[in-house]
Amino acid sequence: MSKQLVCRIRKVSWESIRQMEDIEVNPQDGRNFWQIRNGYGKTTTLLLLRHIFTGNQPNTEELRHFKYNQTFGGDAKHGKFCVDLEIQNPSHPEEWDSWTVSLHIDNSGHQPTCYFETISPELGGPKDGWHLPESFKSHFENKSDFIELFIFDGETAKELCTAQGTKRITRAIRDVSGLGKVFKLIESDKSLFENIFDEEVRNQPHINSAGSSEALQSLGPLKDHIASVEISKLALEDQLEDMDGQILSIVSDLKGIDAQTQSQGEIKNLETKIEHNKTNIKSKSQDLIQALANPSNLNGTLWDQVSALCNEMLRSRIPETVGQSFFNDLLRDDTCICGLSWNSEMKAHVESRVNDYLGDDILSAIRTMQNEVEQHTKPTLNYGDIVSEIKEIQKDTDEMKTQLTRIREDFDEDLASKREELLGFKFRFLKEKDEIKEKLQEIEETDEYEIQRNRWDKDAIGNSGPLVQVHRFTLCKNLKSLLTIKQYLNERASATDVLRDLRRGINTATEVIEEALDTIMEQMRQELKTYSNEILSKIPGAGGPLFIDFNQGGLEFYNQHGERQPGANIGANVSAAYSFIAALGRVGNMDVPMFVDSPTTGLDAFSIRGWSENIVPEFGQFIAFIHNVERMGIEQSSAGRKVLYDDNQTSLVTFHRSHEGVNGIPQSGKLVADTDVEFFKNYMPTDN
Amino acid sequence: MVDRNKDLKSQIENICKREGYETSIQKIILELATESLTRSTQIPDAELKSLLQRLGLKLRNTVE
Repeated sequence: MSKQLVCRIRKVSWESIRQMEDIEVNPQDGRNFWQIRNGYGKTTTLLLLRHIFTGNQPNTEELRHFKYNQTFGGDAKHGKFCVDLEIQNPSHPEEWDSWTVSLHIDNSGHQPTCYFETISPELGGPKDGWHLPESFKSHFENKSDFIELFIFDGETAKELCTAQGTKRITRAIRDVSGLGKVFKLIESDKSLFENIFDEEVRNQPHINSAGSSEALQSLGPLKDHIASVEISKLALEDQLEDMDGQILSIVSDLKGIDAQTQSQGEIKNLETKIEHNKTNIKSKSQDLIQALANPSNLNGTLWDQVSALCNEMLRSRIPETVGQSFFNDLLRDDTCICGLSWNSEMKAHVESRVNDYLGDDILSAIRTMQNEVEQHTKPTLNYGDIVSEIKEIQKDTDEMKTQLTRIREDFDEDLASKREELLGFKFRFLKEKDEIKEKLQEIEETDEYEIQRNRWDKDAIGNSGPLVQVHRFTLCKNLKSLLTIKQYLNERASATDVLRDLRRGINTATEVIEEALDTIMEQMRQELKTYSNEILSKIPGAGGPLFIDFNQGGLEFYNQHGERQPGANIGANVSAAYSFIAALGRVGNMDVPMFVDSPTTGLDAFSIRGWSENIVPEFGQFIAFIHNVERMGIEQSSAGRKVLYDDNQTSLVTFHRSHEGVNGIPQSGKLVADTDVEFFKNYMPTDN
Repeated sequence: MVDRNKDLKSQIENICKREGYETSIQKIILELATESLTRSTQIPDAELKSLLQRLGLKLRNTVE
């Protein structure tokens, strides 16, 4: 199957345009690197190319910007920018047609003026105006947004990754579908079908029934009202996108602050832990003192020996269970414990044995010691262990104190209040977003039950059908209700068979074509997402794989867990934009030049490799403006060096003043396009 | 790579089948949508009007 559009730039020429006197470059298929220092016409060229591709004339301010402003022989009154294109004939892919589009600028009058000129054998020669073939026009004519994707700079890449990029993405999908003409048949109130109906109404000579006349009178205000509701809808959608952008930006800021706020949490956490450690040390110290006083904590086997001795004594009933005081008390009684009255012999015997028993004070001390030994047969606490624990806790505390000092040194307390402020904004924006969503829902709701429940038709549709009353339907903002009323009015206004048939035909054709287009757009969206991620996956990036999706925030990044990753860096944005644009070419089945200003901005060495090996080859013709610093960045990667210098497959051009050496001085003489590779490699002006 | 024109045609055919439109109605809708893609300029209004009126008439006859 042939492609919808295949196009190459064969020549670009400048005549007395800003810094350029008379210069031309002939890009080749594949890779083209144009090295140019700042201030020599990069931005000017990009802007001019966009005009050439879209057929949109520059405004006065731009024309003034393009005026020749040097003193090396250019003409300040007349300038010309010219691009030679080769465009494949879609019906005969083996045939390529030549087309030259020139923009002539006249600065001789008070106000600068300009005009396009197109030259092609297909036109039979030169012709004033912009007359590129249909296959080209259907993609680029008047599509300034779309061409910015293919004549591309960092700003576009950045915008694609914001809420503002959402509409650009949606429009781009539509633009590459090649179905623009079909959209024009049915889109909004200015569709070709509706225009035909309006025209036919004007042509009907006898529309004289009261009903049709009233309906016709109401149709005008109704169409105006629908148009104003659609404008409000767009404004609300813009607001919603802006709000999303603001919220995303806040989330990104919060993420940055979170690292700091995390420090705040860490400080509190560390302080609590240090406090806990202090209490712990105090408690352990008390345990240690008690342990030191505990005889069972005697070292070695000594306590075991004491314990064994004590047990042996207890078993041998040592000491005796009674002491000297027991016998002394007994002697003072009238009778012995056996019940006999004391006689002298008995008393002498007892008195002679009393000293065999311990005194009560000694007995009590021994009993206490025996109890101690019995109760502490095994050590309950090892004071050595306690000392180790205390030392560990102290060490932990010291480490935490050091960490605390370091965090406190880095922590900016102002950020904490800034975070609170941002959270407040976020809350406010989310609330406003909900309000906008509610307003949008009122406009967009198509569920009859919801419309009736919320009375969003504002009673403009009665039980017996819509009411032909302007003051009623102008209160209604629900598009479905308004379209129902419009259909009703259209039918009533169709007083003749011709009009009725026309209306019926328009309504049916619109419904069928609209549904078919919706389905195709959704399919393309899915294809585009798949291709974009396929290409992106080949560009290595730090921090793990990222995926892109097209949602409210333009090209949005997600990690492998499906979590949104806001605040992507410029390299990620550029990689995503490249992937998206390359995928757009595939989905749109077109092969057109990719013209980029500073193609590797924000890419690190790994990404440059991915870009060299996977992005550049996606385009049949890749033309990049680079400055020498960027050239050196590309040279640092082996894949980058290959893209620039290997196999002579790359066209290398350096734009410099004719007197300039590789050191960039002197900056005098006409600007030239130098194809010398050694000059390209060694060009080192110092002002970049 | 999907040919969008073919895809559009096939989508329209599917919708017409689902809605039970007879072949002649389906043909006119297809002509309206796909003819505009094959021409270098937009179909003239008079031609569009004629197609739309034929479509309306056929729909009327189908209903009646």
